[in-house]
Amino acid sequence: MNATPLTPILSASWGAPYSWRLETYRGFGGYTGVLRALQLTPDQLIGVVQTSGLRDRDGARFLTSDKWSAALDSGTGVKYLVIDCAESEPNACKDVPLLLASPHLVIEGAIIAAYAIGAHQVFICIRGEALHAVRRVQQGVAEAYRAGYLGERALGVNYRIDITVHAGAGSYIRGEETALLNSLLGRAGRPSSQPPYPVSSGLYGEPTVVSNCETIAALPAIVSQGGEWYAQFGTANSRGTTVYSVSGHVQFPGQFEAPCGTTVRALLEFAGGIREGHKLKFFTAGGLSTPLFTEEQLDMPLPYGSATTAKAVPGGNALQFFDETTSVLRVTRRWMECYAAESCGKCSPCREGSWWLSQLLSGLAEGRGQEGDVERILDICDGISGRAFCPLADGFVGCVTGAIRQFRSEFEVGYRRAANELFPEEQSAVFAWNESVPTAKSGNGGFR
Amino acid sequence: MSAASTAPVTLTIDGNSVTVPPGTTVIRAAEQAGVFIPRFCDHPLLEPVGVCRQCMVEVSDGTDTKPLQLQPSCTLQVAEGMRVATQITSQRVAAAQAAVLELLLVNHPLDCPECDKGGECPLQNQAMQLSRGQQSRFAGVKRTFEKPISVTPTILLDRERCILCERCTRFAAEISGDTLFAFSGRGARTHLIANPAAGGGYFTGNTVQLCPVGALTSTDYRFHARTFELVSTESTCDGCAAGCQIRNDVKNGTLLRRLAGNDSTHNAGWLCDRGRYGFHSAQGADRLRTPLLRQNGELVAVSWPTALDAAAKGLRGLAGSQVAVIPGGRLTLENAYAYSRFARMVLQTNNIDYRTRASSDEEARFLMRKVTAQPVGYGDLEQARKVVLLCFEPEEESPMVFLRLRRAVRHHGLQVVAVAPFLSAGNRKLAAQLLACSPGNEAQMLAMLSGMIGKDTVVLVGERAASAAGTYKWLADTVAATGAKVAWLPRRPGELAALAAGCLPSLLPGGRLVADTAARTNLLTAWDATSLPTQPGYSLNDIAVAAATGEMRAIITGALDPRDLPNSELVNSALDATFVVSLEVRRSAVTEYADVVFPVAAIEEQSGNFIDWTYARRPVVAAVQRNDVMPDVRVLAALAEALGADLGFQTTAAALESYDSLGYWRYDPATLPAIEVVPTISQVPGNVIFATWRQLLDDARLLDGAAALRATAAPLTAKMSPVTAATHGFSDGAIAQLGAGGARWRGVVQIVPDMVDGVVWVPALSEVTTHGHLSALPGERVILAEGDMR
Amino acid sequence: MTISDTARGGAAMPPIAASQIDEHSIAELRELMSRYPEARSALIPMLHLVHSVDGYVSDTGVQVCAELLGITSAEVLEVATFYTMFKRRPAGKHHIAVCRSALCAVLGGDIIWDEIQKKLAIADGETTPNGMFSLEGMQCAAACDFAPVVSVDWEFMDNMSVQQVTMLLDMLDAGQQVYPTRGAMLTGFRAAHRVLAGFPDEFADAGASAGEASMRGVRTAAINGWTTSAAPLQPSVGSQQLGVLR
Repeated sequence: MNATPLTPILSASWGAPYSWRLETYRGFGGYTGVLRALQLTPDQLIGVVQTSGLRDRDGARFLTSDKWSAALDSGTGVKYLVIDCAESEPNACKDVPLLLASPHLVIEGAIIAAYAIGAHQVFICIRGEALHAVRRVQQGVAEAYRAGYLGERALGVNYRIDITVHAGAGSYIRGEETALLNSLLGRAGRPSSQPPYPVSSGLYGEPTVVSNCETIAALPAIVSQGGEWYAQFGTANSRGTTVYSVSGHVQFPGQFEAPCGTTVRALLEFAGGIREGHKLKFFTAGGLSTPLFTEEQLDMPLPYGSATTAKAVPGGNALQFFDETTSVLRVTRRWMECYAAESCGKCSPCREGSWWLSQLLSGLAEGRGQEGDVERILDICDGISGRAFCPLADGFVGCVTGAIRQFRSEFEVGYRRAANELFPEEQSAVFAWNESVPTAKSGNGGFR
Repeated sequence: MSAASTAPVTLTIDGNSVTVPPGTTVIRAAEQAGVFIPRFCDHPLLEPVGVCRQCMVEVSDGTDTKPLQLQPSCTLQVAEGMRVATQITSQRVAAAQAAVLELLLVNHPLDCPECDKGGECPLQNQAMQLSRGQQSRFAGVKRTFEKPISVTPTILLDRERCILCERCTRFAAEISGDTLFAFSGRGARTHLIANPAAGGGYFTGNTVQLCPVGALTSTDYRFHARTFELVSTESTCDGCAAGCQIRNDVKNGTLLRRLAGNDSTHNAGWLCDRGRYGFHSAQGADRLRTPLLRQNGELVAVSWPTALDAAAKGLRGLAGSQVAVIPGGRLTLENAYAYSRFARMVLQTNNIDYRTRASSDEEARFLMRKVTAQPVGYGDLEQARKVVLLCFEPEEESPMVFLRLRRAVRHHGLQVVAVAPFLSAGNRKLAAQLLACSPGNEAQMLAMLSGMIGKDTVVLVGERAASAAGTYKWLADTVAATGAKVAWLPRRPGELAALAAGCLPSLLPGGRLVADTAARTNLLTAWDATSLPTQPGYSLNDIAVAAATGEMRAIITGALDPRDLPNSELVNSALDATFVVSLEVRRSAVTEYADVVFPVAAIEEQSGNFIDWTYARRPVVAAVQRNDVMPDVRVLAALAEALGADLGFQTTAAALESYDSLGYWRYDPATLPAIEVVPTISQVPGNVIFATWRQLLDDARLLDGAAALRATAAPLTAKMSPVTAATHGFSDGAIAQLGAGGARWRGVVQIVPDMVDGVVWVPALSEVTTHGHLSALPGERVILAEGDMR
Repeated sequence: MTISDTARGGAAMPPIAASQIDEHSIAELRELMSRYPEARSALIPMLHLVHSVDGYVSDTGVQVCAELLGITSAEVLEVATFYTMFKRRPAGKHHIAVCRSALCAVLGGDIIWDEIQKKLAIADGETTPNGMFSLEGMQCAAACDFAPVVSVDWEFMDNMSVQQVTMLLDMLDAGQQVYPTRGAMLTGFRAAHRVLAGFPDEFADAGASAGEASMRGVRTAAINGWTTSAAPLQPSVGSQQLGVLR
C-alpha cells in the first residue's frame, strides 16, 4: 500500500479537545495495544516489534527488537526501563508536542516495553524546562494508575508496573545514555565509561534499557495494528513514520509526521517554502553535527544518514531552514557556544576545545579575527576529533568544519568585518523590529 | 572464571612483544615494554577513568583489515594479538597527544614561575616533551578563579591550575573514604570545591602528592623551595609502627618536606598526614645541641668530657638493683640494642623497660612469645576473610593498616569486626561490625568471639590490650586452638625493635629469656662479657615504685613523656628522687628532673633500622648531616668508656653487626612462663567507666611545630550513649567534665547512638583544659559531672 | 581582561531572606526520597523542592539535602551547580529564560535578549533589585517551530517579538494574569519548581493540545484526507474478560 505523504500515527489525536486525557486517547484507540500485548508472550511481542522494523529514534538506531533481545540475553533479567524524554538535543522539538498532546502514547508504550523486557519499574525523564509537558505526563500517569493500567496488578494480570516521572534540571548531555542514568542516580549528568553497558549494568548496577520517547510512543500502534502494518511505511532501512520538525525562515514552521524516507523538499513544501521574498541559503538536517546543506540537497531523504545504512544522525528528523539574510558564521558561533555551555567538562578535548573555539568564532563573528584563524580552527578541530570521552565533541567538530567547508569565505571575512555588517540581525528576524520592516508571518502570539 | 581467562596475554607494542597478566591495561603493559605513554588522570593505584585523553595510542586487533583506531590506553585492556603503536612509532599518535596537551594548556595559567609543582610537574614535563618546541596558539581569555583557597589547614587549592584529572576525587572514594572534594559547575568552568566544614580526614596530603599539577599544595611547604634546591633521601617514617617508606627532602640542611615512598609491599605511594607533616618537632628552639649538667639546681651547657664524667660519677658504684634504663619506644634497632647491652653489660642490671605507656606483666609474657613468632604481614590482611580489631583503632593508631583493610573490604569482601565501646568513624569506613564492649569487659566479650574466628581470621591487637586483663591470655590460647593469626600493633615505631633488642626486664636480645641460663651464657660468650645479671628486673611501674622507696638510685632515659603513663605522678616523683641521665633530642618534662642531659640525633639525622609490625626491617637513612649530635649508640658507648667498660661498638653499623651476629632463640611456647591474668584496674570511686585511646593527631610532642597539621585534628568530644547522657542529664553539645584523682578533662558532649552504656570516652592526650593530666586507665571509674564555661 | 567566576558586581541584589525550609518541607523531601529504589536518586527533585520553598538552592537547602541523603554538602553542590536550572542566588518572582540557540537567535532572539536586558537593567544571571524578575540565557528550549521563544517560569512564551516581550514584562510587573498558549496561567518561579519536584498542581488541563505550529502536519493531513489506519480500531479482547478497565 502506498503511504500518503503525511501519516499521522503518533500525531493522530493532536488538536482534539483534551487530547491528552485518557478518555480522549481511548477514543482514538488508545490502550488497545497494551491489551493485545498481554495476550502474547514477551517473545512473541518482541517478534511483532521486529516485524515492524522499528528502529530506536536516536543516533544509534538499533532495531528496537534487537536491543530488547540483547537486554534479555544478559541473563539476569532487565530491571529498569528509562524513557528519555529529555529532548535536549539542540534543534529537536518533537517530543515536547507529543508529551503535551498525547502523553498516553508514551505511557502505553512504556507498559508494552516493560512487559516485553520483564521490567517492573519505569522512569520517564523529562526536561525540567518543559514544565507543562511535565504536568501533562504527571496527570497521564495518575490517570493510568486510577484506570488500573499501572500498579501492583497492572491490567489485572500478575505483573507490577510502576512509572515514576522524573523532571530534570537543565543539561543536554543527559541525552547520552550513561549521563542520563547518572542524573537519575542523583549525580552530575556526566557520561561514564562503557563497558559496562547499561543493558548489563545500568541503574543501580542492574540491567537497564534506555529508550527514546518517540520509539516508545510508536509501540501502541505497532502492537495494536500489527508489525506488518507498520512496516509498510518508510523504507527498507528505516521503517515506520517519524515526526519531522521544520523550523526557521519558512512560512509555516511545525511538526509533520511522515514516513521515514520523506525528502527535504516535500517537507519544505508542507511548511510553505521559504518566507516570502527570500531564498533558501542553507539548511540543517540532523542536529548540529551534520554538514550544512544547500538547495542541491533538497531531494535528500530523511532521517539524514539512514538512506544507505540504518544509522542516522541524532535529531536527523529536525530541519532548520535559513535564508539569505543569515550569516553562517553567526549561526556557527551560536552553535559552538551552545556546545560549550552543554559540555559536561569531564574530558579535556571537549571542555577546553569548546572554550577555545567559542572564543575564536566570537572573534571572527565580531570582526576581530586574526589572520589564519580559520586554519587554526580547522586544525584544532582535527586535534579534537575522535579524542573525546563521548560523541559531543565530534558533534561540534562536525558542525564547525562542515560550516567552514561550505562557506569558508564568510568566516575569513571575520578577519576584517563583523558578521552583522554583511548580514544585519534585523533582516533575519521574523518580527518587525521597527515600523519600517515588514513583518513575517509567524503564527499567533504565544500568550494572552 | 575459566582457565583461559587467567592465561597471560601477549601483545605487540611498537613492534615489541610483551606478555602480561589478563586485565592489564595497555598503558601499564607499555611501561613494561619500556614505553612511557604520557598521562595525567591515569595512576597505577587508582581505577582508570579516561578523562584527560592524553594517553592516546593506535590500536589494531592484529588482523590488518580494520584501520588503526586512536584510543586512550588507560581504559583499554590488553587482548591477545593486539597491536599498539605509541608516540614512538606513530606520527599520528604523537600529533594527537600534542593536540590534547595544547588543549589542556588552554585554560591552565602560566603559574610555573611561582608554582610549587614546577620542576616536578607532570604537566610541565610532558608539555616540554610533547610540544617539540612549539608554542601554544591560544591567544584568548582564560577562565580564572580567586586563588588560593583553603581546603583544610594543611592544603591550599588554586582552582584554575586544576586539569580535572579526578585523581583527588578518586582517592577519596577509592582509598581513604573521606569525601573532601567534588566538582562544581559544568564545562570549562568546572572546578574543584571542598566539602565545607570538613577536617578532611587523615590522608589529605596524598591528594597533594597525587595532583599532577600545582592545584593542590601543602601550606607547610608552599613557596619554601624549588625542587632543584632539594636533596632527597628515602627513609622510613617514625610516626607509627607501620613502616611506611618516605622520602625526606632537605634544603640547606633543613628537612623541609616529606613525601610518600612507593614501596608496594608497604604503603605503596600513600602516607598519612601525621607522617607527612609531623616532622618538625626537632626543628624548634628547644632543640638540644650541647650536653647539660645540673649545677646548683640549674642546667648549664658543658663540654662532652665534663658531662660524661659527671654521668659516670653518678652511676659508678651502684649495684644492678639500684639502676634502671627506660629507652622509650621511638628508637631504631641499633639504638635500642645499645641500651639493652649497656644495661646488662655496663650497669649489670635487668631493670630495663621500654614501654613508656600503660603496660602489664601479662603483656610482657605475651610479648615473650611474640618476639620470635611467625609474623603477620600486609599480604595476610588482603587474604583474610575476617579481621578482628581488639583494643586497636587502625585509622588512629596505624593508618596504613587502615588503608590496606579498606582496600580489602572494597575489593575482597573482607569482614571487619571491632571490639570497642562504639564504632569509630574509621571503623565505619571499614563497614565494621561492632561488638560493643565496655573497657574492662573484654574478657567476657572474647569468650563470645572464640566461636567467630578461624584459620582465615587475623586478629589485630593493639597496645591498649595491656589494660584489658585477660586479653593476651585469650589470644595466646586462641591462636593455638583455632589457627587464627594474631598481630600485635603498638603505636610507636621503635617498639618492635626494642622488643627484638630485649629491652624488657625478663627478655634479652634475640628473644632470649633472662631466666634461661643457656641463653644467658650464649649471650655472655657472644658479647665477650665477664658477667650478666641473672635475675629478671623491674618493669617500668616497679622502677617508679622502687625510686619512691629509695631502692632505685639512678635512671637512664631515652625518649620518655611522663604524660603517656597512667601513673605519671609516680614517675615524676621517681625522676625527682633519682640521679637521672637523659638522652634526648629536645628539652622535655624529663629535662626538668635530669642531672645530666646528652643531646642525641633526631631520626632524620641518623641511619639505622626500624622494625615494623610485620617484623620487616625498614631502613632509616640520614637526610641531614649534623656534627654536633650523635645517635644514642655513640653516646652510650662514650658513657660506657667513661665508666671503664666497653659497650662493644661505637657506630650504628657496628651495633647492627653485633646484633645480627647473635641470632634468635626460639622456645616451644609450652615451655614459656604461663601468662597470668592480673587485674589492672584499680577500684577508685566514680560514676562512669572511662574509655580512651590516642587519636592520630593530638598533643603528642612529635607533632610540635606542625601547627597546620594540628589544626586538622578531629574536634574533642566526650562520647557517651543516649542512655548514659540521659542518666547524667546531658544533651548533645553540653559541657561535661571528667575527674580522676586531682585531674580534670573538660569538653563537649557528643551522643553516640550505638555506644555501650555506662561508659564515657574522651581522646587521650588531648587536653581541652587541665588541672593535672587525666591519666586514668581504660576501664577504671571516673567522675562525670557538668562542666562550666570557665 | 579575565573572565572571572566570582560574583559579579552590576545590579544590586535583593537582600537574601532566611531559608523557609521547615519540618513540613523536610517531610516532603523524605517523601521524594521514598519514590526511588535508592534515595540519592531523589536529589534533583529535592533540589526542585528547595527551589519552590526558598526560590534558589540555599545553603540550608544544601545542608538539609546532604544530611537526609547521608552525603556531603560538596556532593550536593556538585549536582546543584551542574544543572543550569538550579540557581545559587535567589531568582525573581518570575524567571525569564531567553533561548539563545542559533535558530531562535537568528529569528530575532538576539534582539529580544538585548531589549530585555535594557528594559530590566540586569544581565545574564542577575535579579532585579525589587526581586520581580531574574534573567537567564538558556540553551535550545525545544520549541523551534515557535521561534523566537522566551520561557517564563519554565512555561513557553511562543513566537516572541520585542513588542510581545515588552507587553509580557509590563503585564507581569503590573500583577496581571498571563496565560501562555501552550501552558497554564503563570504562577511564578517557586510554584513551577514544586510541580517539577513531583507535586502536581491542577493546571495540566490548561492550554492548547499542542500549539498551532505543532499541529500543522495533522491539519494538512486532515485537509487532504490522509489517514493511516487500515481498519477501525477495536480492542481485540473485551475488557470484561480481563476484568480490569473501570
